[in-house]
Amino acid sequence: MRRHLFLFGLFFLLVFFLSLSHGAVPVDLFHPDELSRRILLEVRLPRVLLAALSGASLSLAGLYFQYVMQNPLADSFTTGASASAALGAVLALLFFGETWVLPSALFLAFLGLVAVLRIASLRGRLLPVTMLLAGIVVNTFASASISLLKFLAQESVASLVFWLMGGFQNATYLRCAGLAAILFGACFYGLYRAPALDLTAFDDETARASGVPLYRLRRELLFLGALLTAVTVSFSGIIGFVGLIVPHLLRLAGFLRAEMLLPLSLLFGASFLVLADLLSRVLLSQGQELPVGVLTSALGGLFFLYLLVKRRRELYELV
Amino acid sequence: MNWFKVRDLRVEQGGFRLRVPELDLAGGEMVAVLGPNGSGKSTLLRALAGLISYQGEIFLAGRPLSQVPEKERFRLVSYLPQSAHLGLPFEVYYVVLTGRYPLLAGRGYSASDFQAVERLLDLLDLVQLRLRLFGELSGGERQRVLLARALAREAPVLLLDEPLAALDLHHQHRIMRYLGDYVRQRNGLVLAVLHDLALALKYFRRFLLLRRGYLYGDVGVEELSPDLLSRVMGVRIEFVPWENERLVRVKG
Repeated sequence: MRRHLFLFGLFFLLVFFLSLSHGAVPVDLFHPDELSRRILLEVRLPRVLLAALSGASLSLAGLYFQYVMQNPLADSFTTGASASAALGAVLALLFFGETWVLPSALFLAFLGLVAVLRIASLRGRLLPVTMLLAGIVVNTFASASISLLKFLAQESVASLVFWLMGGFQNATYLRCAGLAAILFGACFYGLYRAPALDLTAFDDETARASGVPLYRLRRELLFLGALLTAVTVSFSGIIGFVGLIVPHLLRLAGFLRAEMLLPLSLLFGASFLVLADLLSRVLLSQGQELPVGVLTSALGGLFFLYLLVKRRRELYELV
Repeated sequence: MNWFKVRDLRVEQGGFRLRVPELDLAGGEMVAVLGPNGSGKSTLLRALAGLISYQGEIFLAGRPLSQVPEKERFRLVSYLPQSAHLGLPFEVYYVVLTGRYPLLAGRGYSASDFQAVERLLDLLDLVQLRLRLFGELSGGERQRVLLARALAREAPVLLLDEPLAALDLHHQHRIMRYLGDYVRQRNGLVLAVLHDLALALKYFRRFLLLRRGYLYGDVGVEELSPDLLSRVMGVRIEFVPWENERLVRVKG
């Protein structure tokens, strides 16, 4: 157990420093000149930090949604939480001002999640297919609303499209600190209850008869997942599928229990988005950037296709 | 001491109603719950486990059921539902281990938990399956895992809803003997829903007969007549003496 944590931690550090030193302007981390130092401290470090924190947050949110929805296909994106959070952020920006972005994103994310949960629950079980369908509905509705708002507000807010594509251009140290604090709290909550989290994967009756305060636990996990999603989306826009891919790969590698899955998801998720951000910065020549959200969504789409083909049984299982 | 004392219990679920005027279940007893489909057997077990709301009174070990905190309640009572579903992948060993959750004192499972799991994996021939994923097992294998999970808690009261339905004969009899010893050693209580009358007659000494949501009979093994059984089950049943046992035959 220690060994795996150490290896994943090492991998993260490697990716982290690789990402700091590469980009539109290469930076020598050990002997930076004045300009390099400013680029490093004022632009690149907060950006890479935000990428790492976003990756960890989205992975943790995905994991929590998987416990609440009792299936491995749930994450911020597939449940529609990201899109509804983005809609909340955009609405706040257009009508109430920037201070309301976070609360509004959180409120709408939570609203969307409750809708999906209600629709997909049937007799103490949650059907993955119904969850995905409900998630698509919420997703489509929220995305369409954002597009509509963008269309109506054309001149006044030019960067609304940022919410739809996602990226780490708007990173600041303050945002990083805020996200880190929330991530720390949410992660501590889960680690402390790791054995109970695993039990939520059972049907309601079995879980309750095991002495787990199931409904309270589910509410709290849903809230924390929504919070992590809302904050991440407010800072970095919609970045899809991270919370689906990261825990799934870890489960495939044999890490099944929450006590391992949780810390490893944080490290692996952080590495994953830092790497994706690095790719988005260096893939195009002449300093042009790809939006990270586009990159992960493309990757996630392929991964999801693989799941649909390879793991159909799991998906449609109605027993 | 009575593990359960039930007075004027009424449960309503959807259109279904269950009524149990009076019922006492003491330590050291093996009690079988018999009755046709939809007669309220599972509902009775759920009510006793405190999983559904009810009117009337249920006392668990002398205290009103609703006043026993969940974690403590499920340290005393282990409930095996008729079927269970697991939405995320876990290996057999861990599924059995999670049955010990109410016993957790600190943050993680410890040596005594692992030992209990080993014993039950052995009892139910699950040792070779220990690393397989629960979702990949056959129906009979799953039921053995879930039974091991319910027994792993080592709770004095076992509420088992059709624990043996998908098991082969060898395992059925092995488990019944194990349950007999279990109840004796702990002064415990086994309340099991069964459909196999032969198995019930062989191992149980007391029978609760449910019919259309009403506790129709609460009889010892001597009072369990073919006539009474026929009335409850809705088929004509006769007993055929054979060596020291009674065989059950359905007429017509």
